[in-house]
Amino acid sequence: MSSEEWQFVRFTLAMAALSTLLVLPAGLALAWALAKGKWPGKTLVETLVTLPLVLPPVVTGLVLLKLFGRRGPIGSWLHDQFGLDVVFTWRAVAIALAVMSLPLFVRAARTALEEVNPAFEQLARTLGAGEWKVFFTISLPLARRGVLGGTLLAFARALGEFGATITVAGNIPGQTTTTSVAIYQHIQTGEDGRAWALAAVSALLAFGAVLLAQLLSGKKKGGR
Amino acid sequence: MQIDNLRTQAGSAITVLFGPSRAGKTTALRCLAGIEQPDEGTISFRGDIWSDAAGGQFIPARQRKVGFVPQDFALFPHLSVAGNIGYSLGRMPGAQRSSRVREMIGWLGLEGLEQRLPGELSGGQQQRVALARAVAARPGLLLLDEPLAALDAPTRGRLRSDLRHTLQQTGIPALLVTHDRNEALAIGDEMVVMAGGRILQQGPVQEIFSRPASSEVAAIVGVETVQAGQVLEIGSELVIVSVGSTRLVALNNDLPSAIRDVYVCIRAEDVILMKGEPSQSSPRNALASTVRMLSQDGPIVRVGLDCGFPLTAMLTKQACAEMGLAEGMKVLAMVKAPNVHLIAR
Repeated sequence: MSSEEWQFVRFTLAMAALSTLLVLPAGLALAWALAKGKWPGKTLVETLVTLPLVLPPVVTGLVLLKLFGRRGPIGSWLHDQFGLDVVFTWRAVAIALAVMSLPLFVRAARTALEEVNPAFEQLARTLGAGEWKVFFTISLPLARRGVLGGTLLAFARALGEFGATITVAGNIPGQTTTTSVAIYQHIQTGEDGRAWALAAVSALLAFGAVLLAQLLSGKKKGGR
Repeated sequence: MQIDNLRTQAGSAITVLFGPSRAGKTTALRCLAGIEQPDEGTISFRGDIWSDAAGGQFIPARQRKVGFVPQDFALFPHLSVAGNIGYSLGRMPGAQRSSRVREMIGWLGLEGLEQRLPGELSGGQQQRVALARAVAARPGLLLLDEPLAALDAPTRGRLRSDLRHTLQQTGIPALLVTHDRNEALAIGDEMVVMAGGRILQQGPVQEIFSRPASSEVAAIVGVETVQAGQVLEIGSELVIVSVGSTRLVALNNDLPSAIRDVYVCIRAEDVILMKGEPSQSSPRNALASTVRMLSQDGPIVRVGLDCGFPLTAMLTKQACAEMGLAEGMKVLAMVKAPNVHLIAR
């Protein structure tokens, strides 16, 4: 593999890490809200959060293109206020990865939070804890294995994301080319050897992340 | 489930919520803690309204300053003993918080266990940590749900009197749920008897045990002999009842004058056994009986007698042996009139 290809790998890792960081706050908030009781619009939110899992990734990419493009609602605001371009830059990569990996994280985190014994949360309230304190000192720590597993899954998903990324970020080596996009390109141009090399690296990374996630979810809950 | 008018005394009394399982005691406790919300009615504490279903008011648990100890203690498994006890003290400055935690640890004899996790503690230690955690922030009310039920029998017996003493030391009024008669007697000042989601009787513990207000209460608090009877004569002081063909003398404790059908309740502890002929002695009731059954219950022997109706007496093993009691033997069962308790039907 050439140094350019290693750059693709580094870039993909960095983007996946960034997107996972982006996913965490929103994902935790969503997981918490969905885990706790009924509220109006809950089913709608659940559906929206699940959509990126089942929509064709290009479709998600298209939607992001519309939103973040120069003339889109969010894109134009960013351009006018901050001079920022999103589409066809690394920012689009990060956003695409985040959107595509959010559903996996929310699912895992929600399950983990739901499995926390409500007796602990109730008791914390009798000891004067407000909802934020209950979440950060009781629910989240007790759900940490599942949440961590979800984080790893989201990271692994982000590593392999293709359809949305190529739609909204394109293929600009050094700027927006991820490993999956590079592999696709190599196949198109008949450079199978290079495609396989990148594929191997990709597979190893994904395998490692998912294996860790499995190990974490397999252990006893609430263990030390 | 419906609870009407549960009122407890001012002061730092220990009130026991007593009754069989599924009586609604735990639900009542959880409503008081603010963990559950009643559909109807009001809850107020020292004049402050905590819950008013009609008015739509509900003060959540975290604003009530209660100390709640559930049956399984619910110690936070990921926090140490010190972490658990100090959980409610978040707003205190660090030094003050540590000193309060140390105080609680010293008070309940948990020295050396500060850094242990709940999973490493014995049942008795867990109970003390749960109590320390509940008391640390000086709540206005303590709520304990079957505090000894999760412990094994020998530990339970040992901790029973300790618990009363500990609760008294806090000076905080406490409401304690139990279905165990010995616990209620040992720990409570006041008692509320509940069954089927209703309050049946309320008052000082001793009084409820000696004067249950209904046969249902009598059965719950464990009066051993409850028989249907008919009033034969009502005097101003004494009442004569018949149970089957046997006549008994009881005290007239504000019985309605036209009463006819009653339940006759006699506690096993109040039945005295004697061999031989009745001579002059104070008990008004001296019943010729035959021993039908003997059953040992620890240091006690329960004696099932037939005196025209089934009567249960309770003797020490020693007394039983000294009298040489055996099935089929004839004895005299003596019961003082004040201990023949009548419940109008």
